[in-house]
Amino acid sequence: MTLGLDSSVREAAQRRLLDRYANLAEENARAAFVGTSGRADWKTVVAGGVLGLWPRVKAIPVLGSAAHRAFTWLRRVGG
Amino acid sequence: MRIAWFTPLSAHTGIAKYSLSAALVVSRLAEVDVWTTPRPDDYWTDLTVRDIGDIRGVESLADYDHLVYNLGNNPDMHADIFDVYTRNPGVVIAHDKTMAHFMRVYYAVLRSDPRRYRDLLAYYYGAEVASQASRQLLGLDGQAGDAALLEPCLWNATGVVVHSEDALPLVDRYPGVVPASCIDMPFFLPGVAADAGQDRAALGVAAGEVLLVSHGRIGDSKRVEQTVRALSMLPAEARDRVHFVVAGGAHAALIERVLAQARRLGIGDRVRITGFLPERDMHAWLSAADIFVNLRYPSTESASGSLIEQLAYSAPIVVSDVGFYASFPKDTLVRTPPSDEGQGIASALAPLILDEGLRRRVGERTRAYAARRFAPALYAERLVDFLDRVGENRAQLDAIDALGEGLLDVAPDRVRAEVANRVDLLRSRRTSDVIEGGSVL
Repeated sequence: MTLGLDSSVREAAQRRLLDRYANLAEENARAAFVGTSGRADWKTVVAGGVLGLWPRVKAIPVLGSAAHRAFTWLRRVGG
Repeated sequence: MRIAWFTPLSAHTGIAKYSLSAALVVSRLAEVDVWTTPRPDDYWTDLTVRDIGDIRGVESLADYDHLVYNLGNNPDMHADIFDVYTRNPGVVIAHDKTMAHFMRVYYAVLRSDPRRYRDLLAYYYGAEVASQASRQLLGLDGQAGDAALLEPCLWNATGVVVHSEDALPLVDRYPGVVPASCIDMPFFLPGVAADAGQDRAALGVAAGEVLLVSHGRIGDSKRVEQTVRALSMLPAEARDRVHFVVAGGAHAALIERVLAQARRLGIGDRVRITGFLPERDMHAWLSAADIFVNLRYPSTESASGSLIEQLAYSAPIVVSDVGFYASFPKDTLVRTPPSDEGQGIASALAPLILDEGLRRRVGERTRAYAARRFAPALYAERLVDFLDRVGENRAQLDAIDALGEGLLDVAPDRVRAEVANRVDLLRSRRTSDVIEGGSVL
């Protein structure tokens, strides 16, 4: 996709893109758990937590920090 | 143009006064709904008011051309608005130059997620600042330094408005991508009758006394202690005529400190702190004032709602020469050095206290200037022009943001597949296999 941005704007666009990635990933991870966003399907993660599988799932290396914190939240509310 | 205007309406925040005044004048050029979390002390308005708690999803807001979020550094008043902002892009009106207190309380307390707060600091300012903030949260000796943490108010913004030129560089994080503009606040017009409570005797102000008033929510940055010290430094003929009233609430410790200081300096009978006042009583003090004292240091607000409010009255205003206050012509506001501890304030106050004609001339000059600069109609015109610009820019911004959101699908897809495999695997095992250390988590 070409946006036709000049170099000065491109730098700002890159910053915006990275900021959104850093923030939206976190917000979506949380929103998925409270059912206000459908972007990321975390149902299997929730199922694992509800089944009491937290220690094993936590150890999956591919899970990012957002998912780790989502699990922390899940455990706190009784998952 | 349809606008959803997110704001607190509580009488306990100065932002509500500005915001209602602004929404009202903008409603003459566009259709404006106010969205808020209702509170018992909300200001009343003719505008349609809707409850943030009724937002059920994106579709509740889909009919609006612009969502406008009033964000400030008070988590009690703005956490609900920030929540909506994180899920729905819109124009941010940034009322403060720092959101550090808001972000600390919002993430570490309201969302019980101090790690997220730490991660935000690490992302925007680096690991050292994050580490210091963690120590601070733990009650150790860490200092998050000058980290203003305004950035989280920008990543989902389609445009940003501030109220002073010196705040503009702080929010212009994506130049050419997200429009940012400085628009002066409009006057807040008193919502009570103009003749309400102008009886100075009823307020306890003796004939011949010169009434000095500071107002609004009082914190250390409003420099009330320095003002009291300055009063004690005045020449006797000025000091003996002064009646200083702090009209507004403050922390109990600050009130006690100020009153004790006044007693110690021998002017205890000339200093009064009213505590929180209803609108009508506040108006009585503002309209009776001979001189306003509106000091600020450090200056953390984008502008000053209390100054804008005072400008609608006739008394001259003594300010700190910093931030928004420094944007006025020299012959209007009476400036003092920002970090002055008393002598500079006393030097500014003395001639005003002793010369009624000087007070009248400076007050009238300031008010005439303010009437032009902060005209409500001018504000409405500039804000609607800005929203038009945001609209024109939206296609480019949406394209850039779509790229960012595309990236989000990468990690969750990997996570989803991996977790599904692991869950299936674990389901096939015996219960004892998924219990570690004898405890079920």
